[in-house]
Amino acid sequence: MLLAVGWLLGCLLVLAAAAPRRLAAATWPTRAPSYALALWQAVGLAVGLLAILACLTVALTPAGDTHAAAVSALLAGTSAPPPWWSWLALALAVLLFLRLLTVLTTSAVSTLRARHRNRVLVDLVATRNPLLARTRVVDHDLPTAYCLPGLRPRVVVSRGVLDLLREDEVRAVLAHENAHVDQRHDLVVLPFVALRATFPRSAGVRTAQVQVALLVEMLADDRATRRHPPAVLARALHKIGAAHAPLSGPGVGAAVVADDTGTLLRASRLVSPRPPLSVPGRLAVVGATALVLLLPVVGLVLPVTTA
Amino acid sequence: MTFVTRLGDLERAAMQVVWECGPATARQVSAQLSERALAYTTWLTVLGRLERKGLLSRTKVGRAFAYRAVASREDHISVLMQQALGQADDREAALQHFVRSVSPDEAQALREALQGLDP
Repeated sequence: MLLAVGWLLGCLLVLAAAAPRRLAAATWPTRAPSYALALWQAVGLAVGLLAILACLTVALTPAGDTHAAAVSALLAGTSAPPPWWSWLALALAVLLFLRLLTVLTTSAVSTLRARHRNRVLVDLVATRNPLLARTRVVDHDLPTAYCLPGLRPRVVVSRGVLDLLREDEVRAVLAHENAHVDQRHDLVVLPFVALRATFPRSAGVRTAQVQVALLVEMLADDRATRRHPPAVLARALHKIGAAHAPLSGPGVGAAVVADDTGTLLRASRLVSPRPPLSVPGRLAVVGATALVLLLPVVGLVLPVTTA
Repeated sequence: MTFVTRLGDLERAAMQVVWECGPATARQVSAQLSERALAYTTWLTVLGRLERKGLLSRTKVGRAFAYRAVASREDHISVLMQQALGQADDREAALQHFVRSVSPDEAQALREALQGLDP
């Protein structure tokens, strides 16, 4: 019986399949977005580690009773030559690791490139405001606002936003985008976007990416509402979102709409806020996060084989 | 910082000339922007940078290069807007939007949620 392999695969199954669904269905994350984000990150990291460790453990099974014993036996050359499936499992572990690494790198590179290109164009065609150093206005009717985080960040709004929104609403939108830039939310989102690009059919990965994107928006909303009335930000959300509604008919944006159902959640959270998560609640989330990260470690100390 | 800002400023000015007057050499750009009193070699540098950024293309005219805009200002704006509205491939990663489109149902629900708040 393979205790460690069973443990690693069991945890993997629970974390990859059940955890995203449970977390996405929970209501507390809207009351403590940053805590929920940490938990999502822990789950993502643990799933990757568990998968790689499971393969490695299978590879080590013939060589010893524990990970340590197997490795030292292999290094000392005292174990029997590993069977073919041992090599297969090892290759799988290496492949998995390399795959995750390259996916993350290529995703980061392509993101940086697209963002750089966007900034070049923005700097070329947008007008600037001396009072708002980062802000650029693109001359277009359709209202839209986004940010380009990085070393030379930009917050871009279209003229449509300035036409559509009142001044206090514009300021709230800018505060929201500046929060993204200052807190580098793009770095939080990036690994999940990369995962989704790699496993486009995985429901768990998709859920994780959508939830993380939404939680990051909530963080930025919270930051913006420190200085701006929540109702003002909610109204801006509604005005800009509704301005695009005619666009999102069948064809154009089915996927876009499906990804953005969080807008309503964000608005209702602003309009009728619920109290932040209690301290015991927060402690429980921190504990869960630590527990998730411990799962792969536990797999390492369990015996590989039981005599 | 000021150097970078100044370069960006010169690049915008040079692009403006090419957009308005069509393909131009460094000497022509320099003549158009003579009020800036910059050597034409400076404009040569600026045009070269714009070419490397993929914003200008150049063709040999006699002993000089004529620089032509790869796309109009309006084309660039529509590319930006396509990305901003989530119609480009890189919509997931590159840009973080304030809000993307909402469905008509959601728009209605949002409107109802906002009713009762001060106008």
